[in-house]
Amino acid sequence: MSTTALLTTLQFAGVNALFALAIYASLRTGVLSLAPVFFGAVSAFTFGYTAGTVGLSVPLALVVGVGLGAAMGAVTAVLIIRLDSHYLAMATIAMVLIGRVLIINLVEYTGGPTGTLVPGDLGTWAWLIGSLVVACYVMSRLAGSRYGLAADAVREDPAVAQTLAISPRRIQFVGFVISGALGGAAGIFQASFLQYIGPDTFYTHLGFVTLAAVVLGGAFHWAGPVVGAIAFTLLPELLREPMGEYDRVVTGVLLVIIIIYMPRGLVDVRRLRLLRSRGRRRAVDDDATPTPTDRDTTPAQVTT
Amino acid sequence: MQLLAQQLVNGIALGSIYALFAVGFALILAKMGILNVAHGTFATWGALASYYLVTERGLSFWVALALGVLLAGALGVAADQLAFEPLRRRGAGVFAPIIASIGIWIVLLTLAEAHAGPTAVSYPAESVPAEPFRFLGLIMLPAQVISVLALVVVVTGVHLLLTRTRFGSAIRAVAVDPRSATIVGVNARRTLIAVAFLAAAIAGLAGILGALSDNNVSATIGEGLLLKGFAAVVVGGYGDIRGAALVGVVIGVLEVMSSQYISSGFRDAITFGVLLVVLVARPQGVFGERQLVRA
Amino acid sequence: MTVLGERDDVTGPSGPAAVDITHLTKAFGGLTAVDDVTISVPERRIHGILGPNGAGKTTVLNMISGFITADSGTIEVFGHDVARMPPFKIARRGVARTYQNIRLFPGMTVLETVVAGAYLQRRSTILSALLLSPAERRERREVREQAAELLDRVGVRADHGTLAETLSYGDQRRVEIARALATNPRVLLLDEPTAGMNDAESEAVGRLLVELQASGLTLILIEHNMRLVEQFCESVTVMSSGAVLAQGAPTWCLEQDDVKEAYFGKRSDAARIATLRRARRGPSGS
Repeated sequence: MSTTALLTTLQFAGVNALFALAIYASLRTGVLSLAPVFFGAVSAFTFGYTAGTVGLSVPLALVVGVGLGAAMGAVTAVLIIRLDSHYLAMATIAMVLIGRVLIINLVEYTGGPTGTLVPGDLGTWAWLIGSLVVACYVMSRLAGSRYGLAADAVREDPAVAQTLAISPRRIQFVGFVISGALGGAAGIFQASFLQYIGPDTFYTHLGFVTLAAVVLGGAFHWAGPVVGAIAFTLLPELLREPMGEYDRVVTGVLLVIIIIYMPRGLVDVRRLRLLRSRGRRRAVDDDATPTPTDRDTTPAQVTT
Repeated sequence: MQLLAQQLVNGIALGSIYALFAVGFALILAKMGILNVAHGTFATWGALASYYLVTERGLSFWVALALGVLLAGALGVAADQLAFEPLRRRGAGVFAPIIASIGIWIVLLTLAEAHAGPTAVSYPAESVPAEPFRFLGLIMLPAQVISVLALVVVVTGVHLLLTRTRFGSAIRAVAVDPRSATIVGVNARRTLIAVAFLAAAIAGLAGILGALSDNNVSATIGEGLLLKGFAAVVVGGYGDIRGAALVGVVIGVLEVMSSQYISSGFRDAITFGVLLVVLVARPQGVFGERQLVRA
Repeated sequence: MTVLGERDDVTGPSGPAAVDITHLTKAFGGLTAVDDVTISVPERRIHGILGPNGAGKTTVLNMISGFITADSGTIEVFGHDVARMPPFKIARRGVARTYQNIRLFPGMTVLETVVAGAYLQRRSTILSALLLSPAERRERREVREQAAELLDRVGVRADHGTLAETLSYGDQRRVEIARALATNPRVLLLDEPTAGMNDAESEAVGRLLVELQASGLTLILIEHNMRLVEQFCESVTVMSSGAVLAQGAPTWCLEQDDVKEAYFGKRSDAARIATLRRARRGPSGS
């Protein structure tokens, strides 16, 4: 792979990382949602229209797009958060499908089936890295916060979380809003890099591959989606030469293998902690100090 | 009036294919608790295989149809045993099987695209029945008649199988709790394999009939079916396959009617709009869960 | 079913009711798990719920904490009917609990688990977390200190940085109690808090209960260790097949024939007494 190609791929990896963080934002509250793809589409086309056609300044159009994403996240959450997990996932997939139909039919704003051109001002390394840093900062700050611990509790055991006075729906609502803002941003950067977007830019494929990236990287730490997105974008490109058109087969097989054998992904904080805990216990045992009766009862409920 | 009746016929025929697909999709969802997004690719592979057998091996369409259905069923079993069985054994949560099915979907779709190529093809005209039936001034193509008949046969058959046979009670027992089912003498694994085969084979049938009706065999047949079948299952509920089947037919009629009388562009929007409204207003599906499984 | 015996010559405090349950009923399918149960627990009392397996004890606890909704009857916590409330609202009214099958959050450390329990106590917002304001920092430090104190108080000696799920059975139960206490409850529901503990550990839990009572808590526990019940519970409810068999002082309740029969079946007196003795001694360290 040439250097230029590699750099282009890395840029898309960055954009995908933003999408992956958006999916992670709701997944960490126990909600499997592909809605960020829809949020991304709406924000991207809005960006294209406001920055391109209306002539709004690009940073302002970005802010509008991100805000719009957050607002859509809130509305979506109000409508569908009470659904059971399967139906909720289905509903968000349906949103993606409807999004495509809307794009095709709102020709005046979206260019319809032929798509539309988008200003490329945000398609630079500075903007991309800057936005990624901001996104990672937000996610890492939230991780250990009151909200972050509540989100972990809701994801691992919503019933128990409730007895700690945590309202799962409120936590999931916040998750959706963050997911919407990140999805909106990701859509805008995607559009700005491509400089052209059409009805197929934000479709199921993007959602599924991004979800795969989150799973590969790990949905239990904010670094997981970033690592996963980079791996999942680079891998097919690296495989393209030896594998030809079958590169994606590897992606799919890998996804199945990971979910079976590494359900918590590459960035697995729990495993690290487990190793550390064992290490400590061993150190204690070596000192021949009496240890509490250890029956090593590990309720290994790995909920993915 | 004549046009309306004709479009109704067309809609029912199109809807029958959606309904067929929905039946298999609902089976997997209700009996195994798996939202299998790879289900569409089983349909695609059924169609691709039958096309290959007709054009390259010179088999008759009917033999090719049977073999295509078998192949789809076999793919379903393979997917179940390679991907879902390990997850079941580990007691993984709800999301893991969905993610595994996305992996299968990527693999089978990529292989299908590589195998079929980008151009759309159709079954050779001389190999498939083509003489239209005329009845009360309505025209029915053989593909349409076959689709409707296939739906009636499959829905009746599967419904009787689930409600009236020993195998049906075994499936119900396994769906509720595989471990207890094993205790009362049901071979859980074999039962699940049978369900996986049945569901995927029905998808294969839907794929082949869809290709026949559209006069178009391509790698993306299954994608369209997945979306419609999925809508049918959500609206119809997956507890009773008859509900999903009925809604599948209704979606077909809605599509044909809306493209005739409203706008062809918004055809899909209407389907999915209905889907979303139902999800928000009645999460348990229009017919509720007259359910065998408490999810 | 009739309440066979009720006596209120119990030793503990008897002020206004903290938890007042009347005519509580719950059926699962055809099985009536809880049948017209009425229990009143005054503030700052240690109340035990006893009975053989399948008596409906955990179902009662599940209804108080809102895990499942009663078919009929009322549950009042400090005068407020909570029978139809979602669990998180009941928790806000000051009810916390632990679980028979320990339910810790996978992947969380001991300290995080307890800090997660302090959700209601904290004032931190998304914005303050993002800006890492001085108030946020102070709060984070305070909840961690408070959690460490609670862990000390319940007797968890393990490193606070270890995964909670890797601790010994007894420590896991203690972490659950600390997590529940972190919500700053007024009523604490404990489902078999000493299961899997040895005599010394059980004894320590008993002393903890008394300590918590002294600090103002009302405690309701399901317990099989009769010695512990007699030593620490001021009143008990004995249940069998969903109904209340007897209520009152523990020693009195355990002497009722119907209670003995429910526990041990109709057998010769000698065998019955032997079993009772064994039960009073408690399951040792199993």
